[in-house]
Amino acid sequence: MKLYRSLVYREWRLSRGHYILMTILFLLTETVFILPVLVEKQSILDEPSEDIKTIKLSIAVIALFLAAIGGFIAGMNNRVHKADIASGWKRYSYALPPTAKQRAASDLMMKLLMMAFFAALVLIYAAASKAIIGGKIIGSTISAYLIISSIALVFDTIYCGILLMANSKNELKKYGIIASAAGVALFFILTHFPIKIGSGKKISIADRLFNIIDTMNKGYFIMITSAVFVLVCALYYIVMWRSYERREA
Amino acid sequence: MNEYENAIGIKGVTKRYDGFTLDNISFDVPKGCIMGFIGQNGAGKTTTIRSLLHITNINSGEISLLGMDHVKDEAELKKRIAVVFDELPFHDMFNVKDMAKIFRGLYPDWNDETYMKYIDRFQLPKKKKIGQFSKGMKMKLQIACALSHNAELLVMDEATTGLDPVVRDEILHIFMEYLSDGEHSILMSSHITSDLEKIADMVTFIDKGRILLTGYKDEILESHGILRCAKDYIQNVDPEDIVSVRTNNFGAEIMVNDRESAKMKYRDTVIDPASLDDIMLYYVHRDAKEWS
Repeated sequence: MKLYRSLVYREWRLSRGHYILMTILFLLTETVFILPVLVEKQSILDEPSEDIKTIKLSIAVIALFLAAIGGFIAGMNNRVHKADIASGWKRYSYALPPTAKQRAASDLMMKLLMMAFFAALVLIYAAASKAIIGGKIIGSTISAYLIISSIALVFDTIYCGILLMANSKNELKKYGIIASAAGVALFFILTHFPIKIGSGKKISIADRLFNIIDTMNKGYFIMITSAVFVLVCALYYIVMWRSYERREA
Repeated sequence: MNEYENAIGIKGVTKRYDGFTLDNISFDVPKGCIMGFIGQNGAGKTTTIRSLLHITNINSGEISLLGMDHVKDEAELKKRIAVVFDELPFHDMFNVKDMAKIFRGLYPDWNDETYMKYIDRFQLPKKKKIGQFSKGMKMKLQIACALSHNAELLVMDEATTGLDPVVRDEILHIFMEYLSDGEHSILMSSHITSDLEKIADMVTFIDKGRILLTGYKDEILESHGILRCAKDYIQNVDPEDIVSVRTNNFGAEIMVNDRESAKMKYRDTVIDPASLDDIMLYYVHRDAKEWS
């Protein structure tokens, strides 16, 4: 446990600035959305039932929006690997006791800690909104958070998998560009790849996600997103483990 | 803890790169010894060190560290070795205390007291960011970290390069203390032979990926000599005795590989003792008939 504490501490110290900035931005965004609900709480409850339904829907969409931002921040790259290659720590770490599996596990731990932290921030909004105006909001928020953090983690897995092929500062630029290009390519595929549905009408995966959101509150959907999240975490761990196992040419 | 005779055992190691081959090298570093690993830039010192630390995979051969296989027993033996590189591999934003927090968990035998003792001895600031350290301070910090977890083997790659003589001397003194109990060993690569001349028990010369010479420093220094003579005297020297010949306007200097025997055979010449620098220089030019 001492070993993991050291590894996570190191990563936290290196990424602290990044996460603090992201937390501030996230909290500002959350405040912007939660303030009107708190301030207008009584007037919202006095609205006719039809309007309350619309307001509830808006708040649910905002919760999904916050879940998406939180999930993205938690899953995205924290630039530690890039700093490790540039400083020479990556090469030095081969001479240190932690094994490739332990290092991969500590990377995953750091990710999960950040994901838990941002999930808590997202759920604070969802729980507060639910307490004020009611409605089913928690399940869809969790689902959205898990989906977006899984997607962000897939991006990071690809990015890190490629970036960690670099062994020195000189190679960092080359692999950094390739890794970024792979990320952009994946983004392009996810957002522009046409899918044929029903009458043959083409829509993007992004559009399709909006349709899926309706079913997000259902228990089975949360189970599926949780399973996908676990699989993506496992994928991240395996890619990091294999990357750390790989030796210089 | 396992018993072992050689802290490092390298047998027939080959590592091929495009344009460079570490060619079937073999040498041992006995327990309790400090081995100087000498060679010019690009000779293969760093490749050898990266191979034995398993930073890079070798194509063939065997490497044992502290009596264990360098790949199979990697996890265990890396708790018991320490490494110092020519450049500090720590992030600029950390300070001395951060490094203690990091290494405390990584090494089971990490000792905060020893670490702080070295930090105080080196007069390193505890809260200043490493990025603001001078080259000498960075190297001292790396050495403090390397010596604070009771490592049995210290591997150093050009650790004293670029340091001023005062700092180098201070660091060499620390290494002598580290070796004093006979339980610790050092492999120290350098092209600054004067440092190795001061502290090494053994030396290994490497050039173009091949080991030229390995053995006890005193024996190597005693056996080699520089025979000074006129140019036309060269033909009188048995080629078997010659490492290489350096010529200049005043005559020739011949590196002989058996000084005592040469003294007997070539009585009408002067044979001076050779330094490690001389030996390296003459061996590097061994393929040329004469060089200047």
